[in-house]
Amino acid sequence: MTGDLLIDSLISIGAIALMVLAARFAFPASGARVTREMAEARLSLDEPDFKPQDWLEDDDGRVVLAAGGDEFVLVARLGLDPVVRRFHGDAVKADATDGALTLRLADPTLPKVVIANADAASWARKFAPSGGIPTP
Amino acid sequence: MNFPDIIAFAVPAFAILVLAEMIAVRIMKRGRYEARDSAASLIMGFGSELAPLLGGGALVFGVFMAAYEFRLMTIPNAWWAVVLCFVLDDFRYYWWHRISHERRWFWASHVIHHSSQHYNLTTALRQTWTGQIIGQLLFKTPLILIGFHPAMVLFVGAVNLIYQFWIHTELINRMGPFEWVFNTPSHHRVHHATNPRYLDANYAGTLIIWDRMFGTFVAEEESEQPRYGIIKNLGTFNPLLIAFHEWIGIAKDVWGARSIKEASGYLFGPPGWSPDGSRMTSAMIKERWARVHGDQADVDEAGRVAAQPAE
Repeated sequence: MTGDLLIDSLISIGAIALMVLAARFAFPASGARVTREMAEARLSLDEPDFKPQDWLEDDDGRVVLAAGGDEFVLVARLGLDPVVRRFHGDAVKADATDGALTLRLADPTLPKVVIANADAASWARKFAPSGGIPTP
Repeated sequence: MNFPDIIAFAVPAFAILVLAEMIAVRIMKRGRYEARDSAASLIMGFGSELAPLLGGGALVFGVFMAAYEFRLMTIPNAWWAVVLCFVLDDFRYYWWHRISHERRWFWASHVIHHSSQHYNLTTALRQTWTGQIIGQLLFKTPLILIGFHPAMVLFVGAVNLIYQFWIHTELINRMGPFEWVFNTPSHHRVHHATNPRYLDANYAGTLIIWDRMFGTFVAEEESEQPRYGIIKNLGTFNPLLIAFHEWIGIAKDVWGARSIKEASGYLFGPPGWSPDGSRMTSAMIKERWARVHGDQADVDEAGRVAAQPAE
């Protein structure tokens, strides 16, 4: 690494830090929650042919899971924005422990989703018949 | 005629304009910022400047200089040649950009730029780290073979990139007759949108005329606000995953392919292609939207959802 490149890189890193700090200061995180209503609205746009029949909402508002036929759709949150995944029951590994349903997806950017809800165990069974990991 | 490294000069201006946009967004309450998203975008931009230093940049310049030895004619480094080169390079950019959306090999690199659900000036800087290695040479070399000097070709390409910085904003609405010829924030918001109506549109760099000529122009509708991002939005702000997630997906798919034809489809088919049609390409998404909203939407032969006439 040449001296000029090192200096340029340090200046760039400093500028990035300044811009990120400015964004943090001017736009503080709002702690948005995912609700069923928000998930329904988003699904009507992103997955308009999906017909949800049953819903599981995370107690902490991090994610909402919907079941419809042999498919599932989850709406999670990345920062302020929703992240939607649609999959068949046999495409994920599901297990329920301590009142939370854990889904493991074949997705490097969203490998694991945890949904805290008293119905976690019964929802884990929805995945097992299609080939997912049965609830212990 | 010397061709300066204008990207290096522009970077401080980018930083000042980002800060100015934050203030304007805050005051005007139009547009959005989120610190972690901005951090990811800015780190991607920083990485994209460093990535060519790993060897790709030198390789590209070496190939360009070699190609120049086989040029059809020698075009002088005059102002009119720079203008001509800029227009031809912008035409080249349109097709490069279009194929970057229509073929997964190229999309794996370009998807990075679209992977934010925000649309602000930091989104402009969310750039790929793998652009040098996927075939960019094929698209730029013809200009050099015609006879434009490689330094001029790189210069006009840099001008084009700098032009595209300011159009990544929600602060500027419509721009009247300027929009007839030039790419604008409104046109480019459509390009970054995932609404079925807006998919696969407005590939222009500087001149929007290419989209108008080749049937890919879609105007922004007041009644339909763009939803930014990609069809399957990322669940992470991690720059490494942002940079390589689609390459990881391609590797997994090709590894699991049952034939050469399947592997080719995963590599060079449209993004979302799968042998059994279980995934969604943008054409399939448009068809689904039209099917579900049958009385409200129409899809043309190219799979575009037609705009509805005003009542």
